[in-house]
Amino acid sequence: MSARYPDKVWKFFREPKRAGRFTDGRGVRTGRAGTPASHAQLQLQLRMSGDGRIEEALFQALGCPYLIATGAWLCAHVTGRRGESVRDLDGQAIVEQLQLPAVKRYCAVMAREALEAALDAPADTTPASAGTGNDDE
Amino acid sequence: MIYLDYAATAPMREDAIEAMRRCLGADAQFANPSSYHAPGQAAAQLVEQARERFAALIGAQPGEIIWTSGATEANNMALLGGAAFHKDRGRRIALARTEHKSVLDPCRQLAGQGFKLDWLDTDSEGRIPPEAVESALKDDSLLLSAMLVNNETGVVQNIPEMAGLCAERGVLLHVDAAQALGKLPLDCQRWEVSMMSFSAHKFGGPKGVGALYLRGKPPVRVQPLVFGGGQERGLRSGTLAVHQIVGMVRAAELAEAARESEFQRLAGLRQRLWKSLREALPRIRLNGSEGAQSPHVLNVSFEGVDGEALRADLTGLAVSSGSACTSEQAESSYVLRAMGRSDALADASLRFSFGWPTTEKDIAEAARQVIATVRRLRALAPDWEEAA
Repeated sequence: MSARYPDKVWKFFREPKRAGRFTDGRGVRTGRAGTPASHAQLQLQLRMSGDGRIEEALFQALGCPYLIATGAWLCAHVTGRRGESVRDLDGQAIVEQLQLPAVKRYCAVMAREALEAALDAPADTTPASAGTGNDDE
Repeated sequence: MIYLDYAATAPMREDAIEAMRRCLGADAQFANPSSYHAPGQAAAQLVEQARERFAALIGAQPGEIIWTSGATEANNMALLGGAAFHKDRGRRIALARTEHKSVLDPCRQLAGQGFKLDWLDTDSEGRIPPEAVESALKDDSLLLSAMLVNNETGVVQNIPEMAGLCAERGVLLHVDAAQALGKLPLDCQRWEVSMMSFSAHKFGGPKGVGALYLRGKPPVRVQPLVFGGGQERGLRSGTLAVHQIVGMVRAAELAEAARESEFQRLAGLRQRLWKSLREALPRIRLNGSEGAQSPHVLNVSFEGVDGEALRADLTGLAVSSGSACTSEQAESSYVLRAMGRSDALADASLRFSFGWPTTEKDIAEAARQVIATVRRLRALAPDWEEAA
């Protein structure tokens, strides 16, 4: 519980499931929102099946509790769905789901950008590199 | 919950609470000190005794102390009242961007009335070098305002040196000493300052009371901001809050009596916290000046974390951050930005401040919580690497 944040945001922020990156990057598509110059960053990684279904999603975020919660929500939302069916994810839905205040709506915009970038990215073909992160929940 | 926010405010010292209690009830010294009857005069005597005792603590004469509602009012009185009275001596005011808002805002008001503000540049440690003072003071400078101890960083300015530079040029010097009493020795007379502001609740007195030191020789004058019954020699009307004044001075005496031993103790706690954080966390930065530092404040910036997330995640720790949440949109610390920190580093900063109740156990637990939170948030961030 937090007086400052909606319960859902607080829970996602304090216990973000699907945080991290795949240790074995093969077949993984990575999308980013935010530029190196900007402070806030959101990275989304998707492991997709041959028929375009998102089998697993992981995120990493540098940003406020709303952005971290947005990353965690996004991963939960897209997992198990077909990539093309979530491509046009409605930003307003994220705003409503996470009760984003006006000054935090950029989190929804970043979620859309990261998702679109990940869906459009080529699948990684490089072999696993050691120690680059974790893929646990 | 571990409270490490003593630069924001402190609990009252028990002795000061007791002293206040003796001025409140029907069988106590509750009367109006402006009244001519015996109870009134008894209350007035308490106020004057408190004035004498407070003056002695800061190297002043009793007639040089004006009671106010706190440091904010004292700063306003010094700047607005001082500038109004002495405006024929000059129309320029020198100050640093690292001052408290209760100094910056009155100065901006004065700028709107035709005064010119000359900004003193600080170095990256937040100190105002003497060259900055020399170049900021002009022929028609009226006043320089500087804080003795910065409330965000604990950095100490060299007030005697500034006073010398001001005196050579006939410029008034106002010192905001809200964070200093009980931490550093104060001597208004010897330092040749013109005005000095104090706040009781920073050293264990009640909120809502403070004082302005107004130099008697040569006399420094201010125009009053509050008019009415003519209390405080007509400079600050309003029924004197006897209990507040008595509580303030009792707390000041206790703080001053323990000052030297507390300085050593708090310096040790501060070093211990900084060492714990620095050894556990790469890429953190001290916002302060090891050569000129009050021991009750440790301000640290953390690379690779977001300031709001850092503040939110530290649920067991009452500390301040490098951000003033004046609205939903937080603004990163203007003090740290003035010291050259980036917006991100100014935002991702924590101010730990210590007081007489702070223990080694508090410090160890605070370090544990901060280290865990910073590691957790850094692990969540893309691109984070321990080596810069």
